[in-house]
Amino acid sequence: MFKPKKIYIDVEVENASFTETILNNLAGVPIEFIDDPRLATDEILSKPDPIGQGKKHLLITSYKGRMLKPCPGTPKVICCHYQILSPVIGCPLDCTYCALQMYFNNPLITMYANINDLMREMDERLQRKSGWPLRIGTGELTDSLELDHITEMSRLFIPYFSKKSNVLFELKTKSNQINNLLDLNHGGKTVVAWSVNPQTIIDKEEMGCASLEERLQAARQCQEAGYKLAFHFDPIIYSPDWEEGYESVVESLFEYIDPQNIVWISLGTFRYPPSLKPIIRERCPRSKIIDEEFIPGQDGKMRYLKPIRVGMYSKVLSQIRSHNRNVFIYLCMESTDVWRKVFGWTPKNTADLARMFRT
Amino acid sequence: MIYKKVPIVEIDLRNDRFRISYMPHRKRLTESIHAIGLIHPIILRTINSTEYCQIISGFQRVQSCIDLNMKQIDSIIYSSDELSDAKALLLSLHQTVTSRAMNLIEKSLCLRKLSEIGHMEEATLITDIMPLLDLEPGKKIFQNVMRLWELDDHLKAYIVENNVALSNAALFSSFSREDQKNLFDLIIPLRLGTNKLKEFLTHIDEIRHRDEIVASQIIDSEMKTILADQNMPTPQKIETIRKRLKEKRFPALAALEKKIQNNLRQLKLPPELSLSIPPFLEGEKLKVDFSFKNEEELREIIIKLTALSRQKELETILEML
Repeated sequence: MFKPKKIYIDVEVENASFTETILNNLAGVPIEFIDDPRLATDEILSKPDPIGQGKKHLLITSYKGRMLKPCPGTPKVICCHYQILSPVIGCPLDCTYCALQMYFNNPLITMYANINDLMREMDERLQRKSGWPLRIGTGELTDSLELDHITEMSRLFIPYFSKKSNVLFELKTKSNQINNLLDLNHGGKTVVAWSVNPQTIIDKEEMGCASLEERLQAARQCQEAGYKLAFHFDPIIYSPDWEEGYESVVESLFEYIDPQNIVWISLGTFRYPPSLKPIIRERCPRSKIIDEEFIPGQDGKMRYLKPIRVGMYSKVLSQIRSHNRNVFIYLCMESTDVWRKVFGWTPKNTADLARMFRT
Repeated sequence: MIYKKVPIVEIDLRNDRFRISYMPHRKRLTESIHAIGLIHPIILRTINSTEYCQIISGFQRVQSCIDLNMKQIDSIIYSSDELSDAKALLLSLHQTVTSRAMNLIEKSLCLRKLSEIGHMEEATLITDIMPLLDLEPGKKIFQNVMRLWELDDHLKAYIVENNVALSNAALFSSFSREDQKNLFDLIIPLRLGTNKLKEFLTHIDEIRHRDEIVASQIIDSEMKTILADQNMPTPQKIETIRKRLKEKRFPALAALEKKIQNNLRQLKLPPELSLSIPPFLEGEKLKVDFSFKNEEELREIIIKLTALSRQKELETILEML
């Protein structure tokens, strides 16, 4: 389990209860109190491989802005009106393709200890009505469970959401750290979701993450604890043997999981902002994932050629459908024409897709 | 420190420990010294246990004076005790940057000497020296500049003569010595501008990384034949080789574009009509452009558009989007 090399604590939050929880769970780790979080970021940024170093150091501070924000999505594609909850930013896992590597100004794993502000913000947001079920997740700017043995966030959020209506709380992970979850009263409001990939891709591109089998075993334990489950085939990565690879993931998935407990499956082929490419080349020179043919999409992100994307989506979709015809499957950040080619229909827009998710 | 005229024979001309110039333009300097004499004295340091001095700053001025058959030269002389190697290099650097712009290879040489001879820390070189050299201070840029000195000599000269941008020069240094020579043979005859040079180098770099091959395997016989073709104008050579490289880097895209172009040709569009494909085939709509000058022409275009809408090739193109 992850243990940082050092913890920087902003003196402003040294007495916060969240800080106390973190320190209790990280006894023995060296601590430095700082007046300004920039002292910590400057120190890490001055080291060789600041991104790698940032993954080994923890910063506890406060966040003055909103911690619950709509997913920025991407222009000219269908998104899903997801809400991102970010009490933690940064991740100890080291996936080649991770867009968090572009956050140059603060590479540290950063935990915001002003949790009361966050809970107030959520109370306000949940009182407002929306035309579709609200989906809130913590897994966009960090891994939702990899740090849960330190933060115990699951123990805070899962009971909180269990009493709310028209909302689903999603924990998205590549880990198998579910111990804190199993005895909680979730009220059917929490979805535990795993990103999945063939083991060959995990070995090469998802450093430090749980194996596929470990993820599926953890998913099965959550299923037994009554949780709703979701799976994200994202990023789907092209390789000469991608078809066999993803077929084996689908096979394994349905061996472990009863499809009735799966609330959604998303599909998204690997895409990246152009500025991520030199970072991947420098940090992961052996990785081949950016060597494929990428073209700039309408949103400016680099994507596989459309026929390749459509081919990959269609194949994975048919593999899933061969096991279950009913599970809800959607494409992440794709255009209407790709939707139409893959599914034969398309949501009219982002709001239309958001309405299709059920609580 | 003393100031005096020093006989050139007392200067150790082979000692270039502090030289940070590379391919300087000396003609104007010689003309200037010839016209009005030496304005700035050179800086020398005595060499312990010899009668000779070594040049700290003024390698070009000394050479110009020799060319002009001068026998002695105005000099500022430091003893070896009062001027350390690091200070000597800094003196040389300050003299140079205040009198002329340094080329990329000189900047590389200067940083290396300050590191290796002056024992200056990397952090100091980045924060204090890079700004002096008009380089944005940063580790990545520092590493890129440092590597340039290791380039093949022909490439170093090419970078200086063509004022190659650092981003492109750094791409060269990611190749092996042998590959650098192959790239030199490809690029020199084409006289590529900054953008095309970057495109060529990036494609070759990415193909070799993907296919785990070397540049000589990418620069194939077809490209060499194009390069050797005496009758083909250079712009045409550039475009043909560029297309060939693009096909190697993006084979699926190139095949798809070729297929679409074939179908477009078969549509046999009249000159007043044109069809555009969305960039990189992202998007599902074709765009038609047409122009007309009176109602009659418009009616004719509508008839042609209707005929176009029934052509099998159009359906094929739309299916490919």
